[in-house]
Amino acid sequence: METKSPELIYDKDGKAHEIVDFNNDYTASKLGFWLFLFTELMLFGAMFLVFAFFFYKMPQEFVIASKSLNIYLGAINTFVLLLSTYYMGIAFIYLKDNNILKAKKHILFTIALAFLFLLIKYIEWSIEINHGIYPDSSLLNEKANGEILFFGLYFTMTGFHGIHIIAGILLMIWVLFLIKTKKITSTKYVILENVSLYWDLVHLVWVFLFPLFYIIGLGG
Amino acid sequence: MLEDTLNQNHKSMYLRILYMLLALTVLTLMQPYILNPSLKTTVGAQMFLAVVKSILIVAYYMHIKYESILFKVIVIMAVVVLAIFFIITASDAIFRNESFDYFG
Repeated sequence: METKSPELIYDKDGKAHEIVDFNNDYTASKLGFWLFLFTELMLFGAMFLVFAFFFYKMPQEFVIASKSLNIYLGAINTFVLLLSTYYMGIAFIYLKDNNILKAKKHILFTIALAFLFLLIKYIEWSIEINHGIYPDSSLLNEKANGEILFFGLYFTMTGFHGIHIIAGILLMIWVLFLIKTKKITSTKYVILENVSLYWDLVHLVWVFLFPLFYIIGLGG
Repeated sequence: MLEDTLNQNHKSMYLRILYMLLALTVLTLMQPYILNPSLKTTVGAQMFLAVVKSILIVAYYMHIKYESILFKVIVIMAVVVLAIFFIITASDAIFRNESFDYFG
């Protein structure tokens, strides 16, 4: 590598400058990931926008539909996700502390809680589907427009959120692998930090999903 | 040594924020039973609680409080852009001519 001649770039006055490149730019890695998070914000933001528009137009039908969701399962999932983000944050602190074993243990706790979230969501969806409520079902199509829209948005938004949970689990497994192969260490941790940021965003989306889908039914 | 103390401080901060978020979540669940459960009050109170929780998550769990001004500004800009979308759509929803509207 040392024998390679330096790559040059020329400014407007024709003066040569050596291009210095390295593959460990901490701030740029994080900034790039924040930009990705903003695309996620716009993705979910657009769906919340659609929800807000139709909720404003048909409030009573949304309230009626919301009453049929299981608020207890939704509430348990809220606590599960909150606890999982806490463990993920603590795992990051342990890694920086060079306590690799505890960091890995806390990532495993997070993965377990993410699976629990998915299991509860599976039970919840199964209850709805067993009651004949799913997109384009004959029972749902007989209902008022607002209720059809509510359930359409419910399955779309919680479904998208569920896909993000699955992606989060895969990312965390990847992080565990990188810790094992020493690609993530107590001094080189930006990947874990970014995955932790992603997990916080997934939590953030749920912070708005839960009241809009489950609690509005109590306010009718 | 300094690093150890910083990490210890961070751990206790994480725990404090967890307790605050847990309290706010309990409040989220209790709100329709405590306050007048009209739809307007419920939606207003719920969105207020969600925004407070979001600020705590972004500031502390996503470390924006400890980041440089660059990160703070771009987060604010992203929220402003999203808010513009909501304001424009709200003006459509509120002032649309209902007589020709399918949703009317």
